[in-house]
Amino acid sequence: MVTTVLIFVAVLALLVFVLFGALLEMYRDVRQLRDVAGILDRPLDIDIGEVKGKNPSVYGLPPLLNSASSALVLFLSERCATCRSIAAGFDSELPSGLWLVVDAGRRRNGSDPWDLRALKEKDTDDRVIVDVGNTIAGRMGLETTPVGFRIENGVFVNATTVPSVRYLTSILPKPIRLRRAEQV
Amino acid sequence: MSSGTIAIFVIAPVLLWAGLEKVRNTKPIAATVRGLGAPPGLSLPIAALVAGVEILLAVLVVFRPDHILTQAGVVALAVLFAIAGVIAISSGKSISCSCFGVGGSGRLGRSQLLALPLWIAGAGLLRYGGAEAPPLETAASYFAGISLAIAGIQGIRLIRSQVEARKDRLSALEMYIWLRRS
Repeated sequence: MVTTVLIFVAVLALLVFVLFGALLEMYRDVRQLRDVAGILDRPLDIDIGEVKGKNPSVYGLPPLLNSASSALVLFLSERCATCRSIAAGFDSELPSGLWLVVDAGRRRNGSDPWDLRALKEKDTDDRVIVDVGNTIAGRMGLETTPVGFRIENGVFVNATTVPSVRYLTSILPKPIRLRRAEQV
Repeated sequence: MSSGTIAIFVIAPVLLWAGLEKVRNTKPIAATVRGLGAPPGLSLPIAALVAGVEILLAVLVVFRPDHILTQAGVVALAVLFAIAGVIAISSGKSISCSCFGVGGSGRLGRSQLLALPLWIAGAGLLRYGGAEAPPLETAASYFAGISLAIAGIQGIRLIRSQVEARKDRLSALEMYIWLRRS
């Protein structure tokens, strides 16, 4: 009796194994399809022209960025659904090295656009900038969002579209940590 | 626990996993068989035969590890794989291994040659490592344990894949919205 039950359990487990394998294959197929369709994190490089090599403060961004060794300035707009999705993706606080410039849209009186209030709650060191009248983006000649501008050693080096939260996470500057101190 | 019993718990899951994955989808292994020069009409039956032999050997390793046919079968299968590796190397073609079914990126060649002594060592442990035929109930519990273990590992892989697929889905949606707007 016990032997029969054990064999039955084994056969069931093997069926589950086969079923799991089929599901795994299906996930792989779907990923391939998404990849072929070109809707899987397909960022586009942006030619930043004269902006390259300039200090961020030239365009009205905080002077603190001029001394940043590595940072990412992400331009979001209230008219862009992906921007909202990205903004909603920040869990508790803004990731290290990320600065946000939010286009306030038609609200030229400086009132907060969409979910900026929630973003500001997560912003402990003034890294969320409201671009009233689209002034900063306008000076830089930027008409697309969401776009990330990379800053290295205080100057703009390149820019890319940010099609998803996952892609944003992958391009964020990684914090540099000291190795463990030796015992003195 | 004797070294022979340990060999049971290493050889049986590997054979069972490989065989079941091949049974679930015979096309990749059939393509491998074709790549090795078998006639197209025979590739599918040969693929099914290989898968069946692997599963049968896995069962035999658990229930009759002491039997000479079990040990000889393991060695014969390993030799067959090594010959396939030699053919792949000598032909200069890059032939997909399909050893563990779909998704693997392995190629036939050196790995099969390197695995040959390991398989022979495993068969040797079954023969000389004190692997006696366990009582039916014990063997059945071994088999159930091995089956649950490989199903569990496959389950973990599935959960990881599911998490990744969810990220893909969200990312694709965000990208789609962005493209439609542009």
